[in-house]
Amino acid sequence: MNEEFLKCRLGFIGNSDGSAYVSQCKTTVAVSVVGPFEPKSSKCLYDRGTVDVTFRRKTGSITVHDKMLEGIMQSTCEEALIVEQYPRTSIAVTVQEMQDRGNLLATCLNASCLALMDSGISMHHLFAAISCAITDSEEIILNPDELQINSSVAYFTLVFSSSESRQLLTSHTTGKFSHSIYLQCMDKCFAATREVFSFYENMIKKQLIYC
Amino acid sequence: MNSIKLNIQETYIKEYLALQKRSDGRGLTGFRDASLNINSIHTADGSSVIKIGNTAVVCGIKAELGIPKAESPDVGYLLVNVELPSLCYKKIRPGIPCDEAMETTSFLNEVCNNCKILDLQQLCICVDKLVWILSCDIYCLNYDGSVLDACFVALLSALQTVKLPEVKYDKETDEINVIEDYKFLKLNCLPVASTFGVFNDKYILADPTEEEEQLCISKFSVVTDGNLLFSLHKPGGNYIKDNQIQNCVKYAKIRAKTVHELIKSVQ
Repeated sequence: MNEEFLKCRLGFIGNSDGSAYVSQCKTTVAVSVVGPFEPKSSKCLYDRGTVDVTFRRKTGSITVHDKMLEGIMQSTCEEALIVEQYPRTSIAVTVQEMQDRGNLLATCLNASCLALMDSGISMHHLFAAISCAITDSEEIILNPDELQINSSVAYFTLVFSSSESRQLLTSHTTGKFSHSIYLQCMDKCFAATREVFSFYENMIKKQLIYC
Repeated sequence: MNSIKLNIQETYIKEYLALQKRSDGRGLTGFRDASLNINSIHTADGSSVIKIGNTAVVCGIKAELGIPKAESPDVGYLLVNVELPSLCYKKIRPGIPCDEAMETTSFLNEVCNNCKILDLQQLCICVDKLVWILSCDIYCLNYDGSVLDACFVALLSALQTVKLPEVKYDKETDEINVIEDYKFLKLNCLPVASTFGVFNDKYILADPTEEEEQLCISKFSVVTDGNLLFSLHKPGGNYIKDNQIQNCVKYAKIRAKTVHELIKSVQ
């Protein structure tokens, strides 16, 4: 993983509580976080806050497949936030695709984590997503590009939490694979997420110096 | 999780899980009994009804003729649609399809495409002109947990009952002749999904009921044909440990073989 791999700008939207503009290789995503705010009474829960993730494509409309990605993002973000601290409120996370050249889900998840960090909402843990592709010869490619994904036999997106021990939060897979190769991918992806977390740390440090 | 729910969860662990039992009498890794019926809908080209515990799912397949996509002129369509109507579960409101239905639909379609459940080329009648479109509609009649597992079994057994007639197509006159010579579809593999509920870092429950799903901190689905894995799906929620994944895969592979026997026994 090289230096150029992840790029990010925090707080690029003035009116939202937190925002991040993240590009991972050639895929770019913009995320804004608004909240906690008072929602409609039908969405109000007395003992916890609700998290609402909206995913938007460049074209505006989304398909059934995008709805599944949205669901994955929603439950991952919800678990990371301490929602019990914000009863009767709602937190809205809007994820806007800017350019998709592979690894969209991983980029969206990393961007939403950065935006949530920027917003200052209390969190249990941070999360980082890494995608990897497996070629015909059982070779593992981390952060594959579009071509490599299309020619791969299996493609995984794994999300780990920031704790020291290995905690798998989310797993989304496509293609056929064996259990042993999955374990190998988990090892590699887990190691790669450490670099993403150090990137998060640097990003926040920089942000604090500017303030 | 709120305090009331946390209380219920703790009681459940103390009263049942600590004794290696569950409220319906199963062991922690026991699956519910399944019953399967095929060709139950006569107006459909293929159909099946599956009941796993109290979860009931019906699948009907309609075959239609259509024009293929220009970018893939020699393959037919396999379209899966899952509906969770409001009658099946108290938490689903009538009106627009709920998020869970859309997620299940998308997941089923993805797995069907990935593992090439059937060769879509066998649905082609005339390249770029005429192909079969198989629309598989899956309805949930009773939602009592692990609906995904039931959907997979219903889809597979319904696909195995589909008989397609031979069709002659004349390129010059666009004439379509249906010959009453029915043939079964050829399936490549039989993916079986097994859902597990992660209770905490100590307990995992196989095939959770709706009540247990509510208490679990996360769900984990393994799709396998007994040998290869087709998907390890964990849509967020709390974390899962490595050895838990290993156990889940092991139980899912055993479950896949039982389900294969069930599907075989009804034919």
